[in-house]
Amino acid sequence: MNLTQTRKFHKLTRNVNGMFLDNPIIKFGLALPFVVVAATNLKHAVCLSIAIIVTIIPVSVIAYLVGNKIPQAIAIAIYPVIASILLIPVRIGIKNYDPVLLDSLGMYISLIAVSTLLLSQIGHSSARKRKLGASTLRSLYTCIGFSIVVILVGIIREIFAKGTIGGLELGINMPIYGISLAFFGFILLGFLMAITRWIRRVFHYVLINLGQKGEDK
Amino acid sequence: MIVFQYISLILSGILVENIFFTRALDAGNMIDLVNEPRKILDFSVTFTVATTVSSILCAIVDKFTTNLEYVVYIRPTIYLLVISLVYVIIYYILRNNSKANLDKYKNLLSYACINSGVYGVLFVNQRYEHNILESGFYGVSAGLGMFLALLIILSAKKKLAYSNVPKIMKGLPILLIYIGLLSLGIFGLFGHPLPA
Repeated sequence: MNLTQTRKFHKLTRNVNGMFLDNPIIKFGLALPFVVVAATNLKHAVCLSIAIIVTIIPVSVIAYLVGNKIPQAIAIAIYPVIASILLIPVRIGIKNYDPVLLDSLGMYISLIAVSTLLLSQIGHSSARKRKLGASTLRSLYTCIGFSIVVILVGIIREIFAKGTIGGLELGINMPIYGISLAFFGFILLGFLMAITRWIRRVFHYVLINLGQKGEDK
Repeated sequence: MIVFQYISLILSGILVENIFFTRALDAGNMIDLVNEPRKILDFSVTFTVATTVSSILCAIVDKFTTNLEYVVYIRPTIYLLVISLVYVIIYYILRNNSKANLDKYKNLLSYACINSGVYGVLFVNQRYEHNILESGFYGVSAGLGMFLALLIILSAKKKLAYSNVPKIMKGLPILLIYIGLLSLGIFGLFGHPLPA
């Protein structure tokens, strides 16, 4: 793989990187409360993912359309309120699906309105560095990236804390209850970040080696 | 006796139910922000003012809205409106007093007022059914708890920067593991999971 191919590769993966190796949660530690505390099982993780998609994408579009027409200091107080209004149908939907689920998610479903992930997306969108479509797509990739991490953490914690996945029994007789507590969320996320860094290093090493082989030929 | 109740409430907010270590509230912002003691002090003072004033205002609002139908769905929006109002008021006070100070603290002000920490404290007050005075006290203690958490993180960051840890663990991963172990220690104080 020569320089041109490497550039092409980076251009192709530029947006998708936000989902995997350059995931905003894994790389920058955004939206930590949801991953650390709320993502204790698959149901919670799916609910949080839906809520974040429903909130971030419309708010990013609004932020893009409004741009810098509103002073930034005032805009930072307005967008979370819009996000909070968008979360009302999500809360009603969850309550209708399972009232206990809304209660167990507690404040965390509402906290999405002020999450660092949302605020950073608003910053990107209102700066208008890309076209509307590309900016929206970027928000979507970020949401998918968030969902991947939150669902992964939710599954791991549910398996070891309750011995189930999405409520289905796995036949594990020694559930470790402490895993669903906040401290384990911090520790698990720390290890996930380290593993992702290691994968990124291996990935880059392989790319460089392939590039050298291509140049030798 | 009532004095002890308030002391217990303050201790709970600072240590036992520290919003950073037990609920990870505002963990994302904090870790980035912490790099010097002066900044921590400025941030904590603003954060404490925001939590205290918002807590008192929301306790008053709660008194009038408790019996409303569907309040459970609109309460978060009402809380956020109150936080936004508090932020805008602080912003304009700062702007009218000193333009130089506003330029200096503009970013810090938005970080300190509109975040999951301030918002989360309001939900904790509502969950524990605190009255107006208790809400105010809890707001102050949450701010002090955040100050303590920030000092601990600053010290941890400095120590870990010179520690011999594997390269892939340097920075945020090892810091999160460190915070996790501290959180585990604090969990021992209350001994049961907190309501979300």
